[in-house]
Amino acid sequence: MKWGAILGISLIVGLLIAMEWNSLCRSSWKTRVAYAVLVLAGWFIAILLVHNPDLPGMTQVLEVIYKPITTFLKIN
Amino acid sequence: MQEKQYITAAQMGMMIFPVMVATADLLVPATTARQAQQDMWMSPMVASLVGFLTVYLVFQLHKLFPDESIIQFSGKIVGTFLGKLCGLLILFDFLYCNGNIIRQYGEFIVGSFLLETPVLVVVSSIVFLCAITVRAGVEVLARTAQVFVPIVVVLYAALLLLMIPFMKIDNLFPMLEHGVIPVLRGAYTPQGWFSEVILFSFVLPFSANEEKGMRTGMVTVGMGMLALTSINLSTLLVLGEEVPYMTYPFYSAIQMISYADFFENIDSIVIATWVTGAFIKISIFYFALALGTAQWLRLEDYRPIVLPLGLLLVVFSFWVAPNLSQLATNIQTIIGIQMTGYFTLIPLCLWIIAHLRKKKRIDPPKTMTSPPAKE
Repeated sequence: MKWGAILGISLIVGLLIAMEWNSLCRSSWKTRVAYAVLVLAGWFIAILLVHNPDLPGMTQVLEVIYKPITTFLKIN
Repeated sequence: MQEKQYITAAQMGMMIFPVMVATADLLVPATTARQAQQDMWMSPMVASLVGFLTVYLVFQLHKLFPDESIIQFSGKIVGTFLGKLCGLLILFDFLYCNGNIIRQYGEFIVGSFLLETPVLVVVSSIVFLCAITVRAGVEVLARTAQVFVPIVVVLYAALLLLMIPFMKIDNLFPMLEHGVIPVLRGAYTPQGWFSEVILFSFVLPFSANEEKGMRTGMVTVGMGMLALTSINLSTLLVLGEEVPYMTYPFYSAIQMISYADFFENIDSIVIATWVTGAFIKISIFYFALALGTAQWLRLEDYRPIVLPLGLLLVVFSFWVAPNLSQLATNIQTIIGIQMTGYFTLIPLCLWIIAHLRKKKRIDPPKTMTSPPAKE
């Protein structure tokens, strides 16, 4: 089941690349690198999330940063 | 950027208005009510001060650096490295916030209307729709807002009028039972929604008549404040003490509308209008994210990176919270304050530093005019 999800995500990533292929061929190397990095980041995080839906992320970082304010104001 | 598109000041206001209002009527009234109880309707007024401040800062910075967004001019104020860092923080927060918004959208649609559909399908379809809109450019976005926002406003106003017979004025009292502190604590979450007017910084360079801009920004924030106040007030008047225990109080309040046993179940209309508002909100965040990323990396065009950013948005919408209750907790505790932290404090610091640097100069350039007194 998980392999199916990973296959589906990879298929969508492939579709995204195929949709932009023509304009990517015409654009500069910077755009191509940016495109590759963004697609790979999305693909990687998506697969991590399939394995573990409770993956800690930005939310947990922000919780730690703003803990003093939320406890001071007693928001909860 | 090769953008030669122009939008008017009124279109700009209509683009930003749903940004404040569209998702603030879902989970936020309940979180406000948990802090402020029967004084929840005053909290948006306090929260809007943040919005007025942000608009003022964004427009003052725009006067110093016309034709540039905050991503571009932050480097000129605090140097390349810190400027890039500011830009990265703002862009990452756009990604994070938009993930939250899309997740709220998906959970609301699935929880109230499309009960059997997976959230992934709802989320992916709206992101794909927004990607097409963003690729079409800012002018298309502005015209979309111009068509949809008046409809949304009129229908919401009609709903508020229809709710009047079900309101009980007793729910308002006792007013300010525990002083003003609960009101201020209730403003803790909605202030973040007013900070989102930093998006003006991304659409202002496309504005055709800039002298009207500041007034438009202030009017937009004022309208947003009025809308949120009336939403909170009507929810409170209809539901009373039950508001803090509900997930979507405004939606529940609308479901109470029933005339002569046949004019009821108008929530389908509500969802249709609400989806248009959320669509514009997600699109504008998405547009700012794509344009800002392209400016941050100095790409010649933002269109090629729209689709991969969409993939990231879908991923982030699932990453922000594993379930709806966690999402609601996040919104109550951190989302509001972190949006203010990124979208108001960074422009405030930039503005202060720009002014200090301006004072040191012997002959300030023409674009650096002295600002009028604060509002």
